[in-house]
Order: sequence, then structure tokens, then C-alpha cells
Amino acid sequence: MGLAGMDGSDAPDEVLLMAYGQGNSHAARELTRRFVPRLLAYATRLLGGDRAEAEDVTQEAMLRLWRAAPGWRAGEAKVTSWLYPVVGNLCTDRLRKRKRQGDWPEAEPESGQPAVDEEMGHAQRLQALDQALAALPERQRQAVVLRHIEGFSNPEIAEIMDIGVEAVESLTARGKRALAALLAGRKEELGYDE
Amino acid sequence: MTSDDKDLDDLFALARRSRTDVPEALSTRVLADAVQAMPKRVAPQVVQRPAARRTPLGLGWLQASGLVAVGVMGVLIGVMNPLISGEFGNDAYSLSDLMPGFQDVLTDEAEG
Repeated sequence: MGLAGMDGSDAPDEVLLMAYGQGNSHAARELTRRFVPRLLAYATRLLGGDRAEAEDVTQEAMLRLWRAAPGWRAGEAKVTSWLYPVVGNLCTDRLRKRKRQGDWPEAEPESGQPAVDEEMGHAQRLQALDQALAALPERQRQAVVLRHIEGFSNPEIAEIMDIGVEAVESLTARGKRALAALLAGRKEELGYDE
Repeated sequence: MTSDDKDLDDLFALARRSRTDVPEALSTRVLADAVQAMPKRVAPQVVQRPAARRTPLGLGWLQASGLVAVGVMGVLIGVMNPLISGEFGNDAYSLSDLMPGFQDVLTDEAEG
């Protein structure tokens, strides 16, 4: 399948992937532009902020996608439903390895920071969110990020995580409660009213 | 919705809006992998016809055979025509002119 009549930016992911599978390098560039930022952000959050490792995971996931392209069939799966579990599994492997090596960075919220009196900047708020996310159990973190940041629906998350929709609802609900508890003590610091 | 939920939703919205800067080096690595893993386009097979053999004159064997055949036919016509018609130019030749004594042989056989 080609990209006749379009520059690739309008083409669905699956069409682009099949075009790449037939040797179209423009399709590779467009897929890279679409997915690398999202996967990098997702992997960074799953890995508790380890950017270097998140880059490796992103590269590895994209490499697996390139290799899967020639066998890709139209209507078989969504590229996102295929890629996100790959990233999730790669992150899980690295987290387990880290744990075995006792190299687990504690994601304690930075308390006692001299909060700027008025308002925290966006970057600081995001940092606080990522620190709280990093403190969640791995599956809760994954479900919350997929639901509330990546914007997937519960059935899509169920497919990505290979669990039932009810389990997804349970994980996201517990994850949100835990996040709220983790951030409760920082409300003033984050610029929210008590 | 509690204020906790609202604050959390604000944070999520902020995270969704925030752009992740992708290092140039990572994009380069990903694209290099893409190029390396890219299936090669299947080039249409060009069927090479065997080079036509040429005679020393630069003609193909077919043309050369045709020329030879035409030549042979020309010679045959040239040789056979006088015999068939019994004429060379405007002069008339009888069988006895061409084969002297042949008539005598025929006569002797008839008498004997």
C-alpha cells in the first residue's frame, strides 16, 4: 500500500507502517516523528525519570516495529496497541533488573524545597507529578499513565496491558487515590489551595 | 469531584500538554535502525536476452543463411535455365550440338 496523494502526515499509522514495509523511507520518518516523543515520555515515566534508559527502550521498541513491518497486515492490530506493550515489557525488564541489583532510586517527593512563594512553575509541577508516579506500584503507574496522560480508553489499556477492563478500572482508581495521597502534603508547594 | 481529584486532573492535563523534547541523537539512531531494517524494494528482474551471435561480416546467422540460400538459388537458376529452355542468348542449340554422336547411338540401338 502506498502513500499516493498524501505526504504521509495524514496517513493512518498502519498505512505508514505497511508503506515502510515496502521500502518507503518517508514513512519511516513520519512514524519516527509520531511515535518517538510519545514513547520516550511514556518510558521515562515508567522508568521513574531515567531518561537515558528511556531512550534505549524507545530505540529498541522502534527497532522491533521496523522488524515487524514486512509481516504487518491491514486491520490486524493498531500500531499503538502493538508498541505500548513492547515499551511496557521493556521497562518492566529493566525495572526488575534494577531491583535485583539493588539499584532502585527512591522516588521520595522532595520535601522542604524552598517553594517559590507565589506559584510553582509548570516544570516543577510536572516534576512533582512524575515523582509521585514513580512512587506507585509498577502496574498502577502504567495504568494511570496510559489512561490519564496518554489518553487511552479502558478497553485499549486492557489490550495493551493484557488484562480485563475491570482490572484496568481498579488499577487506575487505586493509582489515582495513591497519587492524591502522595501529593496531598505538597498542595501549597504546588500552588493549589488547601 | 473532590478538590484532590481536580488538582490531579489539572496535573494530568499539564502533563498531556507538555512536549517531550526528543534528542536529535535519538531520532538519528532510530532512523538509522529504520534504514538498516528496511526491506529492500524488489527490483523488477531484467531478463537478459543472450547476445546475438554475429558472423564475421557483422550479420546475424539468420541473415547470413538467407544470403547464402539466395545465392545458391541464383546459381541454380543460372545453370538450369539454359538446359531447360535449350537456349543460350538468341542462338538455338539442338541435343546433337551439345552431345555430338548421341543421335547415332540412338539410331544404332533402333536398328540393332
